[in-house]
Amino acid sequence: MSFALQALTGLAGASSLFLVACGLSVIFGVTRVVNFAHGSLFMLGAYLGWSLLRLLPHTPWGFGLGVAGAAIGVAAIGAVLEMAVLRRLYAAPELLQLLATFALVLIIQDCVQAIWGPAELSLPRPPFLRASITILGGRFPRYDLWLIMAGPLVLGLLHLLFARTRFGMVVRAATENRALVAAFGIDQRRLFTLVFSLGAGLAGLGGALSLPDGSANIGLDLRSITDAFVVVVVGGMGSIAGAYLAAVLIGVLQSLGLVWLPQGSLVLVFVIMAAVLVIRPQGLLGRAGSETGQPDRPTPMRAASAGGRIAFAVLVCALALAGSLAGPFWLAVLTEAVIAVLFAASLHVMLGPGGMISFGHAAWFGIGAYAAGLAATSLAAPLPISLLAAPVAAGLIALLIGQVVVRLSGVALAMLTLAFAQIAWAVAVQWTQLTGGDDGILGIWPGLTPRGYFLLCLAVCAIGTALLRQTLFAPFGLALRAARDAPLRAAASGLPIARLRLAAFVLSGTAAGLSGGLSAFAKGSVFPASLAIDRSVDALSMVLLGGVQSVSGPVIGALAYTGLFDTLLLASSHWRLWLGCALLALVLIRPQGLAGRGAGRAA
Amino acid sequence: MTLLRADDLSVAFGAHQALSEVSLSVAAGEMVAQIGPNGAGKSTLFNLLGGQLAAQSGRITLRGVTLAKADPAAFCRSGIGRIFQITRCFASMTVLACVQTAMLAHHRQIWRFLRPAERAFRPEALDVLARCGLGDQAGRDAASLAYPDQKRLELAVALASNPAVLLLDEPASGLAAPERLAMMRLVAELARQGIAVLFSEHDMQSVFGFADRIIVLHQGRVIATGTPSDIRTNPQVQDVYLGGNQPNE
Repeated sequence: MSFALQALTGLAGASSLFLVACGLSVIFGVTRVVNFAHGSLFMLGAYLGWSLLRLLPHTPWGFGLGVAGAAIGVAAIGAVLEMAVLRRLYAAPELLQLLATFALVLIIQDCVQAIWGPAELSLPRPPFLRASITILGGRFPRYDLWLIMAGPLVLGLLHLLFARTRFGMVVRAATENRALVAAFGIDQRRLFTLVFSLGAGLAGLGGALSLPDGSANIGLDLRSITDAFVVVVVGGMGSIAGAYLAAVLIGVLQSLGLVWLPQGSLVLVFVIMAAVLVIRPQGLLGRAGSETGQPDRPTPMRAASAGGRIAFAVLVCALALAGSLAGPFWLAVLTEAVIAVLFAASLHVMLGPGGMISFGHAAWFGIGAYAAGLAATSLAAPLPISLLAAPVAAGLIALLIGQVVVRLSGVALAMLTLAFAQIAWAVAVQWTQLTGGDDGILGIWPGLTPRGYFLLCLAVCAIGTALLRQTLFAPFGLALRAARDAPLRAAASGLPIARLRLAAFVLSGTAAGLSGGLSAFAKGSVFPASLAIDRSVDALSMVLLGGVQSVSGPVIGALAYTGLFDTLLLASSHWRLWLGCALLALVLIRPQGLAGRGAGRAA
Repeated sequence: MTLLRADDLSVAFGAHQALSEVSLSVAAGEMVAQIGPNGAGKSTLFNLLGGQLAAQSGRITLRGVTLAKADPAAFCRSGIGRIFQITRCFASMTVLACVQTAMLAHHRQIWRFLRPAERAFRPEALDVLARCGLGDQAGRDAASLAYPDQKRLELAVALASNPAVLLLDEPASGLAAPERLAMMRLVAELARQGIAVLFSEHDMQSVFGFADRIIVLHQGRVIATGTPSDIRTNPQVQDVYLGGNQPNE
């Protein structure tokens, strides 16, 4: 296919990207909430569109009506979600906002599945959409031409809305300075609901318009949210024109990349993102400082007392005892739980003392798991070498990726880690020669009895977790916390902030890699799921469940979460729904975590 | 002996020329005050001298050595300590740990991962805290200190790097009169021990009572320098402060 046609296809893709991203950007600009559920709204748009379009006449008018109906329906759902959940979160730290909106992702996923079923729903293209036209000697679908126009059209309409109407003026004012708008006596609650609903409607529109080229399916939510994050971060958070520019840049390069380096198209996205962010951390058209949302307020953190150490030792002994008595099922659960403790503790280093929100921590876990799995199967390396390969591989890649990541902060950093994890996931799925793709790597056995392997995991994880905690109160840990608590002050005292953050990032990735390696041998296999987004959220939930600012948090959180998870999974086929509700309840009721300080009580 | 020298520093933010060709010098043991109306460029000058901001032209030297690249950590290592107008202590630490952290950075010992930092430079840190009048607060959470004590802690953290020059952006702002006097006395004591001090302050009693020399900034330019008595009688300074001609403020 010719270069020009490929570029046109890219422009059509850019319109789809823009439609997903612009609503996210509008919502973030005003409310400073990163709406993780935005992809779910997009998915809802696709499903609603499917239901409506099936009933409506297959004419251009019917199509337009159906798409509009889907957008309005999703806008209404958005308004309800805002009033029920998001409204309570505007003052919360960005991490909790991300987690709460992820809870919505889980809930919506289960609801959609309950209503429309698990099967992929595609729409037979109505005749007027099937046509293609001849451009530049190649055939080009007419619908894609429509799509190419839809992006600038929506951009123009949004521009008119924001530039010419009173509502738009208020929204722009609120984007600049929220406090000021409140001072002018504008009803902020209503404004936020309207803005959220508008953003949701745009997502719904995008979802419905994506139907003729694809289908409504359960995976749409996470796929589209990753795209949207990349576009919004590259374009500049809160900037709509920036989102379009970024969508065009990514859409076209991605489409051309498919021709030039089909294997590397996903990596290409990450490279574009990294390149833009290194040069302009605030994104193409973003303003400096716009990438940060609500900061987390650091709270005092103290070294474990003698009592804490004893409690930890008692816990380890109790787990060892439980492992010696447990049957095969509970032994597997216990093994998973102790691995989860190390995984959560590794994330905690980044999240708590490092002050960096990682939404893609599964990447390091998965890289470790694949490294150990490949070493054990392809290289037939003995257990200790394979286990060593896990942290080494994860650490080295973290060192590379960290160069870009630690330049960012706040939400932009969270999105970059997420994008990297998604790309690592895609590589695991696509690079079948190395990873086996969806079939994974099988037959990774430790050569120990399950009980023996559990004890090994317990020992490694207990020592690893204890060492991680030790670093937090060593000179390195103090310096890292200083860099998080007051970066300006820390730099003025001679602390190299970027290197400290990089070191924390690498340390965190290395430990997560080790836990991934352990998990590969525990399960006997590695699948792409080990670096999927759910795994990242597992880690976040564990740390938050325990409490970010408490040193015992990750341990308690990981054990509680694994317990909760296994109970839910056993009890219900709607575990996503229940897990989502549990997360929402956690965020809304006990944001400081189980082990976090209430009112002045020591952690 | 001149420690810190700035020659012809200029910086603009977009179209706004924040500082134009500002030169100054501070000698060991000297207390130099910079004064000027709000927006005159005082904090910008501190940010240049502390390495937080890069000048578009001009030169900063410490003991005759040029500090070429604006890098706060490097400025700190070469001996420039500073405090900020808005206090920024390390909120997750105790008062003592704040100072210990700065000392660990100064002695290049932050890349130690295992031994607890609890006892690192403890006597030295306690000594600095005692000098700043915080001897009895060492074990408290830094975030829980009263405002005047936070100002003292900020100074103690700056002192922990054993600076030759101290840049104090309104060290006594927001303090009641007796506390302000105590803070200025503390600073004067540090100068007596040989530290070169450049400070800004809105309270004119503190400025004229403690400064050896005063630099007056107005709209990003130095309009006068001299001893307190020179400045007091300078007609241009009186214009800026007393009204004759106040274009901006």
